[in-house]
Amino acid sequence: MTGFLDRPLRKLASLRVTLACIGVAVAVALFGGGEESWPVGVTIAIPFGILFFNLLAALATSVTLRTGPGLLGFHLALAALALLAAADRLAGLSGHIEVTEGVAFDPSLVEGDIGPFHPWNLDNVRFVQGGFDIDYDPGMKRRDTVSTVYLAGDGQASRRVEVGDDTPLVVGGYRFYTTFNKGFAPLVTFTDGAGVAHSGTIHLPSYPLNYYKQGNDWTIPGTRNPVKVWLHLPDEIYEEEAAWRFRKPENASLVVITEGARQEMRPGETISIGGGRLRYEELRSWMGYTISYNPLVPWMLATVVVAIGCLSWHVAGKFRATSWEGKARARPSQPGVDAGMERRRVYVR
Amino acid sequence: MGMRRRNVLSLVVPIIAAAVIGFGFAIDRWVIGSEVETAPAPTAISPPSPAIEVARQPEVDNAHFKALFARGIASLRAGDPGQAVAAFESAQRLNPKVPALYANLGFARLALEQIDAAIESFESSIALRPSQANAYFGLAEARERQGDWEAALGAMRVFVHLTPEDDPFRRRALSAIWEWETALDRRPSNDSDAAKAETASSEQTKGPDLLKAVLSRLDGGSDTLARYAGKTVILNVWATWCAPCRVELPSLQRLSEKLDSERYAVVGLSTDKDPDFVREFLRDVGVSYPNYLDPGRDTAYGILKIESYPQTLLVRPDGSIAQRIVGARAWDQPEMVENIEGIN
Repeated sequence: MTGFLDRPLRKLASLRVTLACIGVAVAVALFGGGEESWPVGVTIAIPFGILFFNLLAALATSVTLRTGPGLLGFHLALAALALLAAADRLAGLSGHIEVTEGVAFDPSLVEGDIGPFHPWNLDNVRFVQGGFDIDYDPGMKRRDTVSTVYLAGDGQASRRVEVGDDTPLVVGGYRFYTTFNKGFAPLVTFTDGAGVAHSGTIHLPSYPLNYYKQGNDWTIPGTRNPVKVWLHLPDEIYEEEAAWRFRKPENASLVVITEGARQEMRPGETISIGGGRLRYEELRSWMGYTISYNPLVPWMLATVVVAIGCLSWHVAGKFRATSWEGKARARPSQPGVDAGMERRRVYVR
Repeated sequence: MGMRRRNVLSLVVPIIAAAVIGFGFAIDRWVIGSEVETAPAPTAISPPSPAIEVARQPEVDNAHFKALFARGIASLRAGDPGQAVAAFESAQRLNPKVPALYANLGFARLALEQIDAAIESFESSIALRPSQANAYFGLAEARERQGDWEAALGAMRVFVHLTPEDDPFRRRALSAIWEWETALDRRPSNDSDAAKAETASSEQTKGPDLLKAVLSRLDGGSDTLARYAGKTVILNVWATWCAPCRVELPSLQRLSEKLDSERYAVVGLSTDKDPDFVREFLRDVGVSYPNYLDPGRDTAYGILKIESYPQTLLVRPDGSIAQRIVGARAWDQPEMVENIEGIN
């Protein structure tokens, strides 16, 4: 390769660039994701994009890489893998959401890392959260989670589907998995002074992880009045050293604290608050899901298979081309002769 | 030779492309599976609950939110905090539950010298996510500008606690802590004396200092330990998020019922932030002895020198510290009661 592109191409083809790209990608994958304002998808796509050009430059500048179809194919597959990985992250989504029992999935509440070219199809995902079963072994060891969701059908009927930690709900290319994150959500209705009713659920922190903190802040709809709610659990739901099943407490009451005043409500009870009336309807549960959208994963796996195949072909070719007879002859024939010295002698000849 | 290489290239490229596409479709179809086949087969037909739409959350335009958030970040980086505040506030109206949004809004307000508003933003961020490290950093800076070094120190210590060793802001945070401790006259005059002074500090906390320590009551008022002067005080410093602290609370309650209330007082000092939630938690676990709040950890860190939880100080009637007990104990056991009764 000659011409003005030769020098920059050789620099781009450097093995250091390859290692740096892999290092950065690994670092971002390991340490990224803690900060919502940091777009991990884009960040990790950059080293993969550079790696793609690095491999193409290596193919353009190194004759050795192009001599055999096996080695050439292997490097082409690696370049394709880097390109696919970059594209997957730019179009991908890795998010999470909490969905309340009896409530439809709301895509606008999804939080997470969303690639800049992600084709936002979550609006077409329609399901309603049902209940869920989680069994615990003694010592608070969580076993299988079976969460029931109802997929919206064409007509009135809906289809019941069970989702778990390893059994995804796959809709529109999105994969929903259950997580350890789940808890309780009181359903309340606030009727303001004009008689307009607003209903909603208040998600309490994950249970049993935060059993000691079953409270949350809430703002009365249409006002700026802050309210604190606390779920009072008079009875133990579980014993740490016994097997148990996640369940909603039967006799929990909802404590509502506003401006220092404390009021306790049972389901169906109503209190006066913030110029209106607040009714505690019932206690529901919520389930936390992770959502992933990786449209190019099948093709990335295919590329890995092709890369392994090409490399095997290359190695097999080298193996076949080696003259094993000649090597055998070059081995020391007399016991006690230093093999390295013998080989060196053969080489010198 | 060159012709042969070109032939290899023109042969290999389409073969690789065809193999990737073909294998990809095969993996997608038979390994990963189509949506209908991957999702478990329906086990029943059932209409969803009629209440499903009742509790629907307000609609949020996610793309719009992200655009506003990104605009705020860009403005902040470009040195235009006014524009950043406007963008963040618009984003906040669309989705008021993003901790990072409040943290960045706090920094923008801090740049505009709107200190109180900045503090409110940082505290909102922390309330939404107690591990939002940069919010503690911002809160510390804001408190420093208010001249409240104690609170700044507390917030910056939490930041250091939450951030990894290699965090670029950690060095700045440690410098600030050093500077504020020096300003508050907490730092020994030279390094050679540091260890000695640190070890001795707990024992040197004399009565008057402790008795002056201001404690926030759970109902909103304030108190001092002087209220318990003349009694041996079992002062337990704890937090709801600390599991060993929660374990020993029932035994402290039993101890408080066992001891003579004329001569002894069991007192709790929680470093949680929300008095209402602490009060409800204590009600749930059946604790009725007096409890106070130290959300800024000013008393716990500054005066009592607490560095780990739970920690219990056995305070003599004159206000001096007799013993410092680190870790959870079964407080109502005879040997513990005997130990307390031996203090005078």
